[in-house]
Amino acid sequence: MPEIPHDIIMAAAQGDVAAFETIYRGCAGMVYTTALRITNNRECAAEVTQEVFIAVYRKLPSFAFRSSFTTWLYRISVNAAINQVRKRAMEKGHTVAYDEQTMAEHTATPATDALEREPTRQLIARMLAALNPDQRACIVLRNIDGLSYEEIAITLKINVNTVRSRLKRAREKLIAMRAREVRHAV
Amino acid sequence: MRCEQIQELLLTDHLDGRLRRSEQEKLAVHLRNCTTCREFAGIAKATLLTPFLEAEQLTPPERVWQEVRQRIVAAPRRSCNPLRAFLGKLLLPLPVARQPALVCAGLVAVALLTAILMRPPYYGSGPSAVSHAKPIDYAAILTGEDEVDDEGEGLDTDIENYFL
Repeated sequence: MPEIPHDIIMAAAQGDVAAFETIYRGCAGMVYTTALRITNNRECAAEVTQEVFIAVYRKLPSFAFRSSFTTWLYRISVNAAINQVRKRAMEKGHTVAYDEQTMAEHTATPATDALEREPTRQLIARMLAALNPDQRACIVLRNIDGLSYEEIAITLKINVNTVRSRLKRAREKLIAMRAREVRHAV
Repeated sequence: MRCEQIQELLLTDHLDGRLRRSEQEKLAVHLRNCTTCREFAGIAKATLLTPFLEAEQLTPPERVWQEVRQRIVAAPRRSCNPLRAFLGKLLLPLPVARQPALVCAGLVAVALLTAILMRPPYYGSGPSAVSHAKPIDYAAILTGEDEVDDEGEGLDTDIENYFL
């Protein structure tokens, strides 16, 4: 995770918009990517990113530096993304299908690399699409963002055993999905 | 350990590097002797770890920042009380100042202590004070004038009337 200098955070807390833009440029990728992987949808991810940064700007004066700034921002992002998924699911009455095109857009890598990575990108998109939002959040936090079970438990406000069981079920589902894909291809 | 337990470990603690040494040894012994679990371990690693290693970070569209900027400029934060900001900076390095519950408890304790110390002295004017229907006239007792007051305060019985 990117680390933001203390003086930049303090300046942004005082209302310095240029300092806040520095924070945005440094962390927007992390917030957006996490939101996109959890919400399934780039419009939702953009909306979550926007709401997270507006909320952070308002809350910055009360940020007490008990944890690192980026850890704080990351937790806000994950929870905002999960809330967004739940809100949309309730609005539509069903879970949203994973937008497979999301991963193909807005990448920070050059075009040729992006093309080479396309199969992997689509595979990740399909795998995440096969999971429910809670399982998806655990897989994103563990497999992509590299958090420990304890860190995931704190971020999602669940206990470590729940993290473990969600990861187990998610991974069983992913293995079954890949097995079906391989059989289908053969 | 049964294959089912081994496969659960393979999907969780083994894949995430959380196994204790003793569990790792038991797992290794089982994998040496069980083809099914050995194959399962290979599939789990290839399916569940490898693709995510290549996951990349994405960038949000520029319009997101434009919208954020527009909204934070249009509705600036409430201006911070300068005294509060100064106290915040002063107290922030103290660990106790970062615990709202401790700060509240401290404030309550100070308020109670102040209330106890600043309480006015007690003069006995409350409801529990002994009330005297007629104040004692100590000067009259000393001069003997108080005897006059005893008249008319008897029990007014026949025997009393006889003697008086």
